[in-house]
Amino acid sequence: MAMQPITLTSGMRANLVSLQQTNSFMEVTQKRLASGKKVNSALDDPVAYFTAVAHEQRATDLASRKDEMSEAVQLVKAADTGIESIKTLIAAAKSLATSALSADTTAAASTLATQYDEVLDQIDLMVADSGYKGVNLLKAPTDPGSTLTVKFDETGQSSLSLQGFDASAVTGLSLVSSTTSAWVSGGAISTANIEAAITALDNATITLRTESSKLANNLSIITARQEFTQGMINVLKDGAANLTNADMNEEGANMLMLQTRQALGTTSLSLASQAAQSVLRLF
Amino acid sequence: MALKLSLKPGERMILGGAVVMNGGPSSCDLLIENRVPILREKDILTEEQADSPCRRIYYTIQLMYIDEGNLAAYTRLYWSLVRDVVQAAPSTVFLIDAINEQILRQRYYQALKLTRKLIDYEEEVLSRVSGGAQTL
Repeated sequence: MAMQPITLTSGMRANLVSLQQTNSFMEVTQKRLASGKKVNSALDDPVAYFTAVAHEQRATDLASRKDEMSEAVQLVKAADTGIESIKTLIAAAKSLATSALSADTTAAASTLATQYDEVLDQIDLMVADSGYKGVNLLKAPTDPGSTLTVKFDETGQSSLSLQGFDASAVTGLSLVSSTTSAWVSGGAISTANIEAAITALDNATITLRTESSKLANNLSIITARQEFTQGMINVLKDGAANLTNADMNEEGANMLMLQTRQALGTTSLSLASQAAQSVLRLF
Repeated sequence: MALKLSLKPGERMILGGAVVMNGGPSSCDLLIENRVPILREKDILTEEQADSPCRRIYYTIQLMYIDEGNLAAYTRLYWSLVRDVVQAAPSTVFLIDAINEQILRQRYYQALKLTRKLIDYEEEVLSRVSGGAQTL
């Protein structure tokens, strides 16, 4: 049996030809919509594309700086937590020294002195443990890993250097252990030495307060820069988006323009056949 | 299976190539037993009403539906209208794609129903622009 050839009606053929012509155009449009952007490659609009890319890149660079800043904030907080705990330890040491002043026996004073030395050792341990991600702001500035430079902009030209200060008991805060400056000497309690120790403890507290306020100051600088950076990132992203995103307002304006153009008669609808016209005129 | 339609007094519809009106005092039920183009009065858009790009598309599909003899001319017009709309407002492409599919399958009634949605969308897009409410 002979095969029937597949025939297309003239209407279907017209459909197909028009569809083929429109197809490539529709593909471009759909690609734009899929990405939500009207400029998808450098070929569409080179200037807008590369400007948008530059904005996006700077926003990305700044975002990584912002992450560094939050890490710096955590570092400062770690140091501040250390300082607060050291202050508590110093208060404990001070109460031990005060008790030693009024101790009845040298034996009692010696026991208190041992406890006092233990507290001083704990201060050093606390200092050692106050680091965050390898940087410790409670170590002497000469020690490695005691400073951190927080970079604010993408080039790293604007920055803030966080410098450590020595918070260790003897070398940093000039506290004196009870063995070095004997609380009990010659079979008697040395009031003068103990009082010297108390004065040293008071001075240490003052030093810690000063350092704490320096940290707070740095913290507020970093926080301000963080907010600024976030704002900048948003501005850059908006800028890039404005250059490349499909714009509904623009579409509205285009549609209005098309409406006007069609009304002026460049596209004619009056090709309806006589039959169709007479049918539609009844409505 | 026959399609059952109810026509109110004085209501018109296109049935095949004819315009049918219910001339009686009460509504009547019609059973349409073969496949012919059917368009109810509320779904008909006249040329004067086709005053926006998407309404023009609707009008053109309507012509395809009721006047198949001149399909080739209407098809050319349809694609040029669609092209203009997609160029002006790329976000319409998803709706228009669905309409195109129905057109290519020669299911014009379904295409018309989808074009209603396109007209609604067009109104939304136009309302974003000041003066978008004005009619031409």
